[in-house]
Amino acid sequence: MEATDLSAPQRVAASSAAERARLRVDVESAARLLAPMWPLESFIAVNPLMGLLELRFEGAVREASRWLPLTGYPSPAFMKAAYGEGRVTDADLAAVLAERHLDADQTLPALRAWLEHPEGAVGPSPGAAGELADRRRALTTYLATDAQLAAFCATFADEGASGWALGDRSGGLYHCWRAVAALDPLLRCRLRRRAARAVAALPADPEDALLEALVRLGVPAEHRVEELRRQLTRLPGWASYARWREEWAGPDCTSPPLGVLDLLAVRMSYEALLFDPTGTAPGSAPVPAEGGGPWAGIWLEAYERHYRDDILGRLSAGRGIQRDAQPEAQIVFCIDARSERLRRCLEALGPYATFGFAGFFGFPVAVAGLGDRYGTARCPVLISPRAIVRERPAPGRARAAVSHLRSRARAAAAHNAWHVAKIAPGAAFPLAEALGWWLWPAAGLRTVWPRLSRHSAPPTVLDPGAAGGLALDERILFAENALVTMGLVRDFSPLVVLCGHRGRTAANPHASALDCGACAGAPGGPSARLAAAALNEPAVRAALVERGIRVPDDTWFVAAEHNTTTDDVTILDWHLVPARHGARLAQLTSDLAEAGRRCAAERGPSLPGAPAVRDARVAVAHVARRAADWAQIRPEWGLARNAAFVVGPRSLTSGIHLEGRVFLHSYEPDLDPDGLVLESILTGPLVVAQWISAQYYFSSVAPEVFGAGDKTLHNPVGGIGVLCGEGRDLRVGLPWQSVAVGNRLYHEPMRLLTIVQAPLGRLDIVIARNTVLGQLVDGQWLHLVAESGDGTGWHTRRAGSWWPWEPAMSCGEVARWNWKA
Amino acid sequence: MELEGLSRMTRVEVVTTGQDVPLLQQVFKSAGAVGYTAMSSVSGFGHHGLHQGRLAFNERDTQVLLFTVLPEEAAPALVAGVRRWLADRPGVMFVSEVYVSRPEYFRPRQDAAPAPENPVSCWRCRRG
Amino acid sequence: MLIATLGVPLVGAVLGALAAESFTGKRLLSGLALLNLGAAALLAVLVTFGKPDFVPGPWNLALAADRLGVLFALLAAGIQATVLPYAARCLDPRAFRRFAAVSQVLVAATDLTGTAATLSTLVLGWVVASVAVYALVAGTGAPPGAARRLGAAFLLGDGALVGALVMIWRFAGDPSLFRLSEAEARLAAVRFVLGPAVLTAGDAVAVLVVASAVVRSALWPGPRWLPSTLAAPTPVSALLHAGVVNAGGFLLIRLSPFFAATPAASVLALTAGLGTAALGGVASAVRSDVKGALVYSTMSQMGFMIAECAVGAFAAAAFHLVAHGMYKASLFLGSGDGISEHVHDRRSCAPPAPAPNRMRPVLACTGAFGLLALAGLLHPALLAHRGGEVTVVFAAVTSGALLWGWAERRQAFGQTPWAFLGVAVAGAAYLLWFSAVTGWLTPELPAVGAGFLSPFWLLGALAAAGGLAAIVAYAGRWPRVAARLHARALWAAWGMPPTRSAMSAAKQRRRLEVELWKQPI
Repeated sequence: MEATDLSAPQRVAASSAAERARLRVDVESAARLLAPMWPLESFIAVNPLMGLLELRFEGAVREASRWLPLTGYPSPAFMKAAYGEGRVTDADLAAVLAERHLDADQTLPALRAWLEHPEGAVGPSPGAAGELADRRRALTTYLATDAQLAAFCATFADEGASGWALGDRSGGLYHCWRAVAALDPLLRCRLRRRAARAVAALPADPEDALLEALVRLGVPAEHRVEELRRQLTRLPGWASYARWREEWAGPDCTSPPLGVLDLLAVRMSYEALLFDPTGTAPGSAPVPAEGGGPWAGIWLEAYERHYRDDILGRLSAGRGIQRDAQPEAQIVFCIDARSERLRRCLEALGPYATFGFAGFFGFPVAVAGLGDRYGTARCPVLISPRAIVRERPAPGRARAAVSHLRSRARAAAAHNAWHVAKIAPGAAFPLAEALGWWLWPAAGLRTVWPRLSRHSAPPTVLDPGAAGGLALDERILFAENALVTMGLVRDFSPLVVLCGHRGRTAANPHASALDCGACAGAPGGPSARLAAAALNEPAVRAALVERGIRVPDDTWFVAAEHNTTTDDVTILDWHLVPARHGARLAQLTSDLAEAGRRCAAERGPSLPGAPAVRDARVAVAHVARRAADWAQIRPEWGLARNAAFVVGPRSLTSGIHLEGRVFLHSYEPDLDPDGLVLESILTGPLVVAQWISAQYYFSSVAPEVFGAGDKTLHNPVGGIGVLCGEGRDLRVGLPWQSVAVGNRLYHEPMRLLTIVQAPLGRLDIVIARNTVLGQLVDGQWLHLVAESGDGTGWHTRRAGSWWPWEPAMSCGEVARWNWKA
Repeated sequence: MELEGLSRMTRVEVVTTGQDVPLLQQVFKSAGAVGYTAMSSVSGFGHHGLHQGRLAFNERDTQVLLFTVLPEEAAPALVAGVRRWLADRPGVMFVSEVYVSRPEYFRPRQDAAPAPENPVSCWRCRRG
Repeated sequence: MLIATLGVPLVGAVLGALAAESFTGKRLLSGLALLNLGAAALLAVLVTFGKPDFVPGPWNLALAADRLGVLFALLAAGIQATVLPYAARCLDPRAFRRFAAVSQVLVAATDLTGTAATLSTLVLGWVVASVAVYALVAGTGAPPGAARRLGAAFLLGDGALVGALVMIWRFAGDPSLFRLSEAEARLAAVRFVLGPAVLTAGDAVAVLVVASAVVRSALWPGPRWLPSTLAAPTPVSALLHAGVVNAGGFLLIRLSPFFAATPAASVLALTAGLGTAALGGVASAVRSDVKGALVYSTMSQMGFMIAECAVGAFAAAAFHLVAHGMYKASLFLGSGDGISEHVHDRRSCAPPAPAPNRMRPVLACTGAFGLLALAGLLHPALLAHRGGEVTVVFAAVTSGALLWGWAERRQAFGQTPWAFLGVAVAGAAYLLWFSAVTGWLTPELPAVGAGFLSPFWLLGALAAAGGLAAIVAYAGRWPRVAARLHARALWAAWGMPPTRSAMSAAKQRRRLEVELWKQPI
């Protein structure tokens, strides 16, 4: 007999409002362990442990490993391979040990012995045999509860992917569940005829239900947060999605309201209903894995140190490359690491100067495309959009726009017709028979001859100042911010190109992971168009003159978009460019095309399955085909192998081969005496880059917990996320194929290395007055290296103070480790 | 007690980072507060040092001042919740008396619509 | 030519096992798959012009080509020709090597089943195909539980078939598949007495064959192994849903003479088929994940196919078998579009047109009747073969449903005539193609014996389903009923995870450690 006697006086009579308020806080404390998960239409890379930032890196990993099966460090096998290849050397280890004041001779053998250590088994300590029978039954209940809850979440959170969905979900998950829980086979099987009564006796309010369940399960108040955390980490995927929905989605979000407290209320109601007071639940907190320990951290630091020495050596050696006196065009790229290659190739082709700035170009708006029902945010998730800008047809092209909208509506209607016919009784059978003859040859063609369909859209205008958009003073403010942050306040060339970026793939649920993260997982083209339109406005230019930024009258801002999968750059809104820039723009376009070809040739061979030939034309054709191929599981590497974030002028990194692994943000230290620009860069783009780096790190190091699993097993659910294989929990993070090939990691799991060119005192002030920076830097979430630019060399920041940087090995032998395809 | 036609209520102000605002909004709602006001980009100097108010590219790590006014009988619940939150988060709370002229604005409405009876399943409930 | 059709995939299997990881290896494999397709197509052409092949082999195994078998082999080859290049780019090299080798064996086994001339050949091909499926699912990374469930289900089904084979051997020797009526007569003469009931060997064989088909096609009373294949990669799923599950229908058509004297078997098959068609359809509507919905939709379609076999509409069942295989394979390969398609749909969906709700049924019914009239006009011969009326009625329902769906989202009333025209053209094309293919098949299909039920049972089931759907659709009147139905469907469609049975203490401990922390929930 398993459920408690329902008439027992354990019910909470009417929980007071104070109790509820405290419960809310406890739930949030428990949920802090998990990072929010954005729906896949706008995938955002987040630091999976972002809620534990104040615990420092080791502390956060240790805390997380109490609840989730992760070690948080690269495995011994991985380090052994790296050691064998020379990617980590004894010199690196010795340097790290010296920093930590450990004796190298004594600890090196222990470090080497750790390499032979097998992967730590993670799990609860095995108990006595007598407990096992109860634990087995409790385990079965646990797993079955997980399964039922996950299935209900998948149905609740569905945004129109299924034919027959739940109706009114505004009451929340708990309310919907309670209405149908009496029919749950798990409850009926265990409670038999008492199921309906037991469910009806549950409170109507999720907060009351949670409180009552906690009481019934006998959870003392001081262990409440722990118990809630334990419950949440049984289904980390859905809990992460619930966290996003509650905290980050915004008040006008139309997704079903799946909240964390509701999730916990349902989960604990299941447990309370199925609770057997004579048995024991697999209760105590799990023992942390043995695979960690201090050695893993030391190996990781040595691994990172090797890369740091390498890149700082390259930066020091490459000093002295001067920019052209007056470039023909200045091109502003997103800080994305994939832009580094294109910038390098472009600068080698002609008198061009490139800058790096976050891909939304400083304009926090939401954009609604032509015919879209609602707008999507196009700014980093750390800020909220100020206005919605709607795309409108270009003047004189209204007819084309109308016919485009009509055809889109027709397509939507036909699509809907197909969906209805799929579920109408009896209609699905002839539908399958009729469509099969047509779909399979199309599929065969698509497999053998991939070709992306070209959506021809009519020309449109994206005007930030249109009705409902930004006011003039806002446009002036954002324009000024953008130019000042970049350091582009004088010496404008005749053409300034703002280049956003996007990826283009076929049949890829994680497609938005390849788009611009600074535009909230959307293509960067519309942001570039907006910014260019605002900067070309005479009123804005006049106001900028008043603020000290004199843009010459014949300078024109042009918008462009870089397709990172095929490495070609498209100029947008060509029809708006004045004729006097025609020749220059044509020259720039052909140079961009050539630079793109060189990029494709450079990165092509690292893609698995690419032909080994280094011919540019073959490489370009191959990447184009890869982008269009629906069977291709790895159309591009995206941000894999990202390693560092550089804040400084282009002269610091110009001409140096950084392998496309570095985020580059422009910054002119001389123009920023009070450190405000530095502060805005370090608290904005740096935090986003740290999130990206941490996401890749944890998806490589803990793929079962923080990674999305094998992409071939992915099963898109509800239009918001993916399930993997037979599992029912949403998967967070990046798929395995985005960071590895076969069993071998392609991404190098390291914490972000931040390189800044600014006076050290200024950095100290900025870090001191921003708590988040203090936590990131001094908590070892990233490594900070800076130089003042006055010849004193690089300094690393450790334990709150600056130490001069010395390479671990002698100058002549900076070892390079290239990933072999 | 009434003061020249005004009703006494309790005002609770919290200074916190932008990150915790959604939680505090929920705590306010749980405790029975009907609304709140938020002032962002608040700078100041306090126990943990200087806090710069405005960051160009980050709203989550800046200071926000949240305050709400609610009936005196509901105030203890709210204070209990905020104190629980303050147990492990940096922030400050100020509780004071305040007199308002429209008390009905700050009390929960009696005729609020109840939660729907049955989540009706709809045939092909596709959005739009 | 028959040897070529069989031999090419076997060569491919060997090549796959050896050289699938290299670039040229992949190209060669794709080429071989295309060659296989070409060979099957050529065989089909030969068979159409009346040049059947017959290849006798040892131990009474023999191959023969007839239209139905060749169609089945053509389907398998065609699916493989698409799935193999897809898998080459999708799977990692080691997994692809295993996939290439085993899937070629599967295709060879399917070809063997299709072109079998004697019963033992058919069963050999069947069993080899089952083993290949198990190897595919277990070898490409599925967790052991999923592979075990699949293996157990196949063991059951194949066991039934082998049991039937043994019984036939015992009493009727090893007959040629084209002269089964003699064997059937001999079996009908053997009687068993079980208490008050008297069973003939023919009855037993028929029931065993139905059981085998029910298990292979993943129908409702049988073990639910199809949802376990969600644990396999996309190309494996595509291959399974296209080439493996429909073997049940093929089996029933080939062995249909055994049902002539056993109406009970047809009733069993019809019940299983219709039940699955209904339950699978509801489950597929309720699931919100793309692949889960496809899995249950396949179950529902297979149920319909078996029901068609049970009423003797063999040509229609064969047509359904082939077309559905192609449909599902393409949908599985494109399942990655689930997010972007949904997003695009959501963004571009304008609010429904202001026309009143009453217009939708009117439009739908007009469309349905229009199609009926069109069918009557177009091709009177369509109604000549068995099950023709049923097909026409179902097609009419489909056109009604399509127009209803169109009417929900149309923008301007002016576009409706185009919708009508589109549906009419599509419907006419479908009916013409259907009659062509079934006309091509019918001369070589077994005759329909007396034991088969009338096709109008299918129409009756459709009417009942329509009534139920009307209740749910107009849920405004009966919200509780609809909510309860939805909840039951929801829990049934997602299914309960299998519970653990008793096991030894050491195994329990290991399981606890592994499952509590690594279970993919």
